[in-house]
Amino acid sequence: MQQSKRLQSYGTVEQEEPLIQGDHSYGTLTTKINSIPFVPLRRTPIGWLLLFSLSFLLLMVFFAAVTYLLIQGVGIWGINIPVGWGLDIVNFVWWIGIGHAGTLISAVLLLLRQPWRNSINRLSEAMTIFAVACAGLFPILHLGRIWLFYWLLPYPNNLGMWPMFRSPLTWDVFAVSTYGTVSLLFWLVGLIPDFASLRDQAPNRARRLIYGALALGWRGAGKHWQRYEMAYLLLAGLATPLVVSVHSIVALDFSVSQVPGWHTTFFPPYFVAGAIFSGFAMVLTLIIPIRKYYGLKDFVTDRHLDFMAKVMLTTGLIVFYGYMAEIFYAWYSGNEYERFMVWNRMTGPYAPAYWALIACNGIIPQLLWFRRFRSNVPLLFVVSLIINIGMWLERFVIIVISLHRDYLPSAWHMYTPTIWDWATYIGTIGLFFTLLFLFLRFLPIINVFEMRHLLHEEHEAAHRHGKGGQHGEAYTPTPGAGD
Amino acid sequence: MSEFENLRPNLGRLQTIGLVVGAVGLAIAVLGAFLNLQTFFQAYLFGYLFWFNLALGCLGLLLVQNVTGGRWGLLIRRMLEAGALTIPLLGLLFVPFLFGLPQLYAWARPEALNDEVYLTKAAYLNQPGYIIRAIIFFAIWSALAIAVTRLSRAQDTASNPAALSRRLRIVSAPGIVLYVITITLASTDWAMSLDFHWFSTIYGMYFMVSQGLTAFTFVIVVLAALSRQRPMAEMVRPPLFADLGTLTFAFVILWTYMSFAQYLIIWSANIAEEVTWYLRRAEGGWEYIAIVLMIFHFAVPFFLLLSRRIKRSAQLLTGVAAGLLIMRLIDLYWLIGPEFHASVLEVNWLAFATLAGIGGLWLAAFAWLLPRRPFLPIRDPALPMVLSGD
Repeated sequence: MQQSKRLQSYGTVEQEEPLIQGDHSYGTLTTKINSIPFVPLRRTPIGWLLLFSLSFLLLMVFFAAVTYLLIQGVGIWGINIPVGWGLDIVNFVWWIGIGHAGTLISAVLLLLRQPWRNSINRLSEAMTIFAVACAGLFPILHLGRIWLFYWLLPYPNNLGMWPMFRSPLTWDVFAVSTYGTVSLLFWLVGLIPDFASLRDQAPNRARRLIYGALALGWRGAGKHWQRYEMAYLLLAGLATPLVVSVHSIVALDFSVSQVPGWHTTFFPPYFVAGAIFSGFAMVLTLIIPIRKYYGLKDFVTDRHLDFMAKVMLTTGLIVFYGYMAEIFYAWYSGNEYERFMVWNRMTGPYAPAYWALIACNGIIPQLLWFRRFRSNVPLLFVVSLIINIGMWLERFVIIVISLHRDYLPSAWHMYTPTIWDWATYIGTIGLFFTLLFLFLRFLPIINVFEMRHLLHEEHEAAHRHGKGGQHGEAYTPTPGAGD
Repeated sequence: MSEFENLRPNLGRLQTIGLVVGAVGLAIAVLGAFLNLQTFFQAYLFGYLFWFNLALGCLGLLLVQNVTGGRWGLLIRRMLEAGALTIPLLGLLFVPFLFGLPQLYAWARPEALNDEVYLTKAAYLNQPGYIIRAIIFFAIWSALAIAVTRLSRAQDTASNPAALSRRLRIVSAPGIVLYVITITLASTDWAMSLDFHWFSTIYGMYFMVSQGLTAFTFVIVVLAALSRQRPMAEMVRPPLFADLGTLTFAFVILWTYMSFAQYLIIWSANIAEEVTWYLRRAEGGWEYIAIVLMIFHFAVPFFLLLSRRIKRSAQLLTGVAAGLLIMRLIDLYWLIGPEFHASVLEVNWLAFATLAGIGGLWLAAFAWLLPRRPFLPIRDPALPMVLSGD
């Protein structure tokens, strides 16, 4: 022991910015976060109303597009042979990719003991669920006769039908539904203690009843916490492989085929990296305005944004590596179809999409190497938007460009999305934001009790390093403020 | 750091043994070269790549540790640095290849000029290109290894160690990018091109993961051996082994993920150019090696490393790590062996000679480099937290 004490004196402790800024106590923290859903209905902020109405309007566009789709069939979309997968599958992959950041933040970072996840996990998990909801719609709509979607499931029947288990499309059904279920459970379980806190502080009876029902009788007893911690950890363990498996299977949808541009062995890890890349971009796109509007900069600090920007840079580099490796190995293969695929991407009729993709995902994210740009919040917001667009273009490039010219020139054909393709896409954006705004209005955006735990730990750390005074007063729990 | 003096004799012994084994092994290998030059080169490639993967794995992990921090890496950093510093030696040991390219690679033989596929990629895959690229690779790797170890060494006496941590980050982050690019190309040149018709885009990543896994398991074995004595015994605690075990576990899964992704995609598409690679590995006894890999490179370590008890025990974890090192050997043999002995599983005695010869020299260099600096980055700002935290 003496040895290690001596060694300790060799170094000086690196001081880091705390993850909770400002002078917060348990009480002010809880009140700050819970006050957002407690705003009375009649005093709903006008900005929220406007944005929610806009999202709801777009959701109506979605319903209109789907209604017409059900009447007419998928012929109203631009898909045809050879481009049988168009915007619908592009959007499916885009949405499901976005979801991955939520699972990574909530499950993987929990297991890796990263304290900076605590203020962003609730929002990103919500984002995951809403994104998976949007994603799941597309393959079902793509079926055409959506009322027969249950044929995808292996159930005993007298039609002599059984799913083709060698097909990744069948695996998708299981992967996405498992993902949706686990994400929802994880989110709901994490919400229980906060529901209880909302119930206890609720300003009126109706809210007390609703939040009380959702709290499932949580009283904050030691036994409750013990079981809760266990359940949460188990769900995190279950969710972790899903971060990798879902998008790996989506990657296999493409790569097990023989289509040049689809069939390549590094697709699974490359898709997973791309998913996390796009997901973090979406989290940043959402959280930067939200933290400003709701005044949450004490909890979602610039250091949080810096961490997320670094994750984006890392995953973005993996994706960029993918683009470069695709080009190199297409050439190295010596295979004329592989070489043509790359050449056609660069110079074919959809070349602008390809070069925009390289700019959005390959070049512009390189700014994130520099702290100067990572700490520039408006710029970070713009970069995150650009990456969102870039990742959509990536799926467009992979799906449409690969299909529109494959082996036989006589079978080549262009693909143009119709107004109904776009309406469905914009409609799911409406669905996503409708759900998101409802979430922002009625649920705690930040995990209150985890933040209180973090506050405690930050105080302890500050105390250990001889800065006891900084959070000294703030640490004392305030009676009657939700304790 | 006089506290560490008592570790020196052991490393000195390892150095002597390494030199003797290395000299004997290489002498036997040279003898073998006179008997059959082609077999010698095939065996040399196998022996070389194993130790190469270990050294480059050390470099890769070192760069990652410098960028991300984390308590797993601080106590093993000097070992990773010693491992990475052996790269110039590996550069020296690479020289024999320059005289044996046609012995190893079909594309380097004159017949290749009649091969249509070869002609499409001859601009890349040719002897001068191969040699020039290898020189560039070794220059980059050596420069990276020397740059980061120098900075790390300077930190031991620096008045402002935090500034050096920052400089280490600034050098290492682009270093990772260089590492990834060079390993992708080197794995293509040295191993993938053994069958120059075949290509797989995941191959480079698979190599990097293999390197990381080799380095982790090696470091666990060395750390466990060193921590049997004071003062390391007091500093290396079960949680550190648990962290290293968890990371090894992650790398085992990653290795499986990459291997399975490649297999599934190639099997499923069943394209003639690609599937032959697996067909060669599915007959003549090679298929049993594949099964052994599935069980002992994945299933067994997977379940063993789930256990906290095993991960926290230096002895048990060393057992798992040593087993995995052996599996790394077998996996490497499965990766390149079938290109030489397609129809039948064959292990030439020369493979053991080159493995021991290069390995002896490598270990001697490692044992010489490790005690040349304090065993721990003593002034790293994060060290006190790592040593005090449980």
